[in-house]
Amino acid sequence: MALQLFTYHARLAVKSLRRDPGLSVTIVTVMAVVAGMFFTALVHYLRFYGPLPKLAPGLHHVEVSQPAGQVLGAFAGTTAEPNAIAGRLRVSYPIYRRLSGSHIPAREAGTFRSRLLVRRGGPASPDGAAAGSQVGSSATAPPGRPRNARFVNADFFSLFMLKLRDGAPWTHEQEAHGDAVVVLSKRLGAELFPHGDGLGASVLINEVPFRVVGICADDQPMVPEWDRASTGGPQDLLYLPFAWHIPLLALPEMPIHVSPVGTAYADLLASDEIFVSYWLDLPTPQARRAYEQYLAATLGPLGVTYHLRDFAGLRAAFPAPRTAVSFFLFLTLVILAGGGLIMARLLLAKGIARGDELGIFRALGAPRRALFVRQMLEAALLSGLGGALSVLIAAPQAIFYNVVVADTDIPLHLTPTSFLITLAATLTVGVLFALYPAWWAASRPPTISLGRH
Amino acid sequence: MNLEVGPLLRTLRRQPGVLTLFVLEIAAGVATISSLLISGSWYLHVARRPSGLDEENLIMISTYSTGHRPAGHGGDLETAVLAEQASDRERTRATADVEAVTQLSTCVLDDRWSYPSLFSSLRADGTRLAEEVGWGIRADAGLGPALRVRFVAGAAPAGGAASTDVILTRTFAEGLFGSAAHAIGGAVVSGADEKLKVVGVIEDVRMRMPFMPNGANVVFLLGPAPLDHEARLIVRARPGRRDALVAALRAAFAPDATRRFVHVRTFDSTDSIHYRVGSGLFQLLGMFGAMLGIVVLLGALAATSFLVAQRTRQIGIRRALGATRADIIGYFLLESALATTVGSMVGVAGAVVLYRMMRRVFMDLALDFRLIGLSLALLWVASILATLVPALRAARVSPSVASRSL
Repeated sequence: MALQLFTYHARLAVKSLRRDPGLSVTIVTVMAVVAGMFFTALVHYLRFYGPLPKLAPGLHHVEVSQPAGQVLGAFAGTTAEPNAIAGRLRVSYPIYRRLSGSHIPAREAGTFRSRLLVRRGGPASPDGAAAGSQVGSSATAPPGRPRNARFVNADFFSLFMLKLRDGAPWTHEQEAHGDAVVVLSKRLGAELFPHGDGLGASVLINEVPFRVVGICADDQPMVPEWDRASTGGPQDLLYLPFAWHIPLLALPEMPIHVSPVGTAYADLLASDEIFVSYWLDLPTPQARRAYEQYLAATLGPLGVTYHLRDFAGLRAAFPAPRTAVSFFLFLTLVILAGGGLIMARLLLAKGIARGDELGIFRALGAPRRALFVRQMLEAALLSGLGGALSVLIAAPQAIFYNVVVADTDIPLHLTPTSFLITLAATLTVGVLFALYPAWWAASRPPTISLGRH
Repeated sequence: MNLEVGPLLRTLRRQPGVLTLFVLEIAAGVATISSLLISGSWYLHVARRPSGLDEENLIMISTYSTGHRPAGHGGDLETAVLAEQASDRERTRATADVEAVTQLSTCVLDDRWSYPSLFSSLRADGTRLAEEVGWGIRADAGLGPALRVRFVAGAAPAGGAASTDVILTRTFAEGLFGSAAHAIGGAVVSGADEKLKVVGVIEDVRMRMPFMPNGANVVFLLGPAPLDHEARLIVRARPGRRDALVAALRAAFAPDATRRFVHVRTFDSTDSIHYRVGSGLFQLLGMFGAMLGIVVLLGALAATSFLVAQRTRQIGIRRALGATRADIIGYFLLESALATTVGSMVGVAGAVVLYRMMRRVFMDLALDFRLIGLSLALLWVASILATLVPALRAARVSPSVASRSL
């Protein structure tokens, strides 16, 4: 019965839409535009502040108080806050060597980002080894600009659950053996091997041949949990075995300077410069206790303080900093509410324009509640339609952002989640702002509506 | 024209809901369009902030040295990188029309990410005087002639700099020592180690992306630079010879282009990633503002048209009682102006509240009342336009309309 009544009112509401097409189209247009703006801001917001990704359940991190800990504290709460985050999430190379020397974690990964020259090499040899470098050979394309390359251990991919489209990460054995293997990002894979024939092919990295063993399935998330200080920047384009940083003389892209170092690479590795992130998997309480004891025995005598945290604890200790993205989401919410105000005024106008019709309904015995429900349904239909059409506004804005603004090479995509949230928000705003016009129209006595006749 | 405010206020009182919604609509429009204009102009302003360098005859050469040695050629990779970079410098200096060359560790056109450091000035007894966040740039002795930095105190060290000599920008020197003059001979430390000695203070230059904080706090470290595959040579061309020199340098480095990265370009800080990002965000936010203005105009036009149409009989009566067409138009315009004025006042207050929120995330954001004025003007125009069209239609109502339903 209730459903029949609802269907009846819904049908009348749809008919009402057609009664004042000019006003209906204006309402839908207004709501689509303001919802489109909200949609765009929401997509940006969720890229930065979305739900926590699914990572290895036993993932842990060790924060080690650096010699310059107080110095880095000066950045906290300022726009240089990434310095403070980087300074606490990363450690110096000597400290990293101590942290990774326990052999307690089930899995572990050290990582830092560098910049390397990458180009396509020759075809892979039959035994799977990368083809040798031929400098200046016509078989290879000239190198482009330096690329962001991340040095990681084999466990990195499973700890951070990075999906590969092709192939698999290198193995511990390959890493121990010093094999020249590489995993390419989705973007670099598509760029170097547009025909999808990258797996097993050779790439020259700083003129050293490496064999492609995997290609990532997706672009890097905007917030790379393994190195949150690089949030918002260009993505990692290739992943190399950690130990290869020495033969390649790979320099960290963004070290935190805490003391002068000499000019040689060895000076950097012996210095207090902060640049390595270290992650470990402690899946059981026993493993965690054992590692705590290891830290106490290793770092305790050095007089440094440290914090061993699981991932949830880490995110609680390092909440995402405030950015313009949050502000713009708030601003578009205000804009959406402004759209709701415009819609309310237009619904009032609709109510006034249809005074005769509403008066006749009332005179024929329609209760106020029925008219109210019908007005609300009409408002929901109009705002819902506006919310659905918001994609027509947000899509060109996303394209504009990716092409013109392009502050990062991680493309902005409209996601189904963002669309559904936008639709829900638009509907909510539409229904809330329709309350007054619906009440006003439903509560007008028929004598007033019909009185002028 | 006879404008009576009394009947107008009575009409407004009869429709408080309509009036309130109109006022809030204008207020929301003023507040949000102002915020979009303020934030958009901030992006543009920051992106366009001048580097402070005399860029007219400057060229930048970016190189990446892999240190690769052909098969059979041994030797240390590190030495090979440094040797290649030294060779690049010599090759550049030997090119005709080169006036000066300097090698910098980073500059405003760099697309690499980097972080600033915290620097402290020291008193004579070694205690800390002040702390400032700043950008340390490695530079060689060619800094002065190549960048044409203007010294306000001290000078570039003659006959080679010591590894601890540094040059500060004026803003940085004032932050650390109180004044440029006091900075000369002063000691600065970054971290906990070696003291650096200030030998010169120059007019401000910006060497990193301008969205970064403390952009004018720059310290040029004149000692030897740590190993880096990437090198940036800043070349000053003889006046009027920049384009010819760019071509000559491209030709000189052409043999290397097949095996390593070499990019020769004019030094133009408006041709950079930060400039593109700033301009792009300005355009995007401007687009938002324009769309919002259109939405407000569209909504107001549609609503006002219906609300005016609803008062056709009232207009007819007024016309029958002697009101002229101009009176009718004036009546509606005055009604709209009253609501817009109240909405504007509320909107300006809202814009100020939003500005205070924005200041938390936009560094050095200024409250530019001209931009609020611009958004007020936009909404006033929209509001008047939205009223004028139906008002003109209403003015054409014949006095006979008043008697039709009687």
